[in-house]
Amino acid sequence: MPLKKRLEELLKRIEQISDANHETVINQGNESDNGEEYIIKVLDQGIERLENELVNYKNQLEESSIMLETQLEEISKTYEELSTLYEVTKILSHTLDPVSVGERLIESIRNSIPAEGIGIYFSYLDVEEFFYSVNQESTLQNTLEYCKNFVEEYLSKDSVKILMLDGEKLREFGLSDTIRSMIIIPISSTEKCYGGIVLANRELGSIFTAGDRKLLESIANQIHFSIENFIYLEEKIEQERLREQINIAKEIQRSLLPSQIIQPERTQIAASFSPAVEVAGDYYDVFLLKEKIFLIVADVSGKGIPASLLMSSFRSAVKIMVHDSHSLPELVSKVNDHIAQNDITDRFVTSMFVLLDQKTGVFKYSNAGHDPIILYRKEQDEFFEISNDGIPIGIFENQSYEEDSFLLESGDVFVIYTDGIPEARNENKEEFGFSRMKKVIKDNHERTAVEIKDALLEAMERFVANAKQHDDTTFIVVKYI
Amino acid sequence: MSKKVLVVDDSPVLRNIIVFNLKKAGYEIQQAVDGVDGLEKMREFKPDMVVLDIMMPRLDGFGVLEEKSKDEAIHSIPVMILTAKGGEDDKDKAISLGALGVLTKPFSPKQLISSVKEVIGDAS
Repeated sequence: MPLKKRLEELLKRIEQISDANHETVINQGNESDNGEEYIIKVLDQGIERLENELVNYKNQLEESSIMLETQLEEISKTYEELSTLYEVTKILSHTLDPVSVGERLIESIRNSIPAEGIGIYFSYLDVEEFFYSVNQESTLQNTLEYCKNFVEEYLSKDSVKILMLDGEKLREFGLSDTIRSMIIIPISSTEKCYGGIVLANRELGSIFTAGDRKLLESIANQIHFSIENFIYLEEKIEQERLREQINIAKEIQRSLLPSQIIQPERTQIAASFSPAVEVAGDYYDVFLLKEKIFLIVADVSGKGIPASLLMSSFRSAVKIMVHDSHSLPELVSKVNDHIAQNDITDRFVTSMFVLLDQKTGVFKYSNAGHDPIILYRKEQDEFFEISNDGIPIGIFENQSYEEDSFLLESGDVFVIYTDGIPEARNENKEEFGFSRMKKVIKDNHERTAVEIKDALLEAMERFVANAKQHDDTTFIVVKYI
Repeated sequence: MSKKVLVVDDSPVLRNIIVFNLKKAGYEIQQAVDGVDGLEKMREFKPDMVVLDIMMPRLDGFGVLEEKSKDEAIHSIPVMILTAKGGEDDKDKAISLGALGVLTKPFSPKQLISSVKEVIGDAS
């Protein structure tokens, strides 16, 4: 091929990326003297243009490559964070108590955020623990104790916020030179702080970033949620345990009370027993003792199973010793010795013992620290509080008790009760009190013992209304005919 | 001479993340977009290790493991499996077909690199 033809081919190829029109160039070449020189000059320019284009492309490619690298770095980092969050969720979901996985959580955090020192502080229920991991070469080793104290103190305040410190701010908080940067994320809700996550001296960069903070906040949230669940579970278990104990105590109490009340000729007797939800400490009994009527009302101190067991012990002592004793004081004294010797708790029993001879109307009584009997005398239309001295049962051995007596008259009404009655409270925290009790008895004294009992119950129910019953209420109403 | 790793995954984003991290660690990388491509590149590139996804078109990871075991030229190349499914069955199946280990997505790229290092050592 002649040279000119070959040059034309070359120019066409260059034209694809350059601006020159090859026909013009060739024609120009023909017109001038140094035609071939001119064509070579144009070729030269075309090639230069090509070179520039190539350099441009190369630069753009390099820039894109750098941008791609950066974006890949970002994506990879985000993917790493996602993997960390996933890992944390997995770790927390396989345990009930978050403190048991403290070290594993730190490892997960380390995968995403390289820092010389990473710690998690737990403070909830009876847990108080600080897990940490510090690089061996790190200068933080020397200030570890101080860092721990600083973090624990910071997180013990109310309304704790996220703390991000670097540079001057570190010095303001009195932190030593070995700490270059620090971030503390509380594990908390608006009300309660259960600890926190702390990182110090970020590697690969001088400060902890917003991205670090976001990730740590997410992790702290998950730990917080886990702790709340654990606390809730513990509370539920404890509630169940208590409820079970109460049920047992109530069963014991129920089994010890009389199923029926005797109804002798000249005496009407009605009893009422209403246990409070958590208590089970009251006891009463009525039975015939050599043709006389023996009545007893007792109140055991405390609640739950220990109280009901003591009550059981007390009842057994009374039931057995009542046949051996020649008088009420002797009975009370024997029962007192038995309980004081055998009961290992600090509990005691208050009790009113009554022996009524319904043929003669002789009313004998002995008190061991209990509330007085309320007696309404029909003839005088007057109230009397019947009691004598004697300390509660079960405190000291070898105590002596008194016995007093009087004559009941027809129409008289008396009530033996536990302090749950006068001390019953309404929503305004007012007490039912003795005045109200007496009023009911007086207003109803013409009626039967059962009716008087019902009237008293009704009055109490109306008074207490929606307030919660906080003590057992027990009473016996006796009307002498 | 850098150690060679072949990355077989049909997701370009995930492939790029893995390649990026492996390159940063100094390994020489080849990529394949599915199981068939993966087997070809294994024979051609003879990598020191393969990172292999399970769910892929044309031929999935299990298929690759099966084919690989039949080919003497490539059957001894160690393989690390990546899977989005977390089931124990998949893990057991992969191991029984010759895989060294299984990583569930989302996995930690750092963890992947350290797994590779455990199998074939550092890049150089």
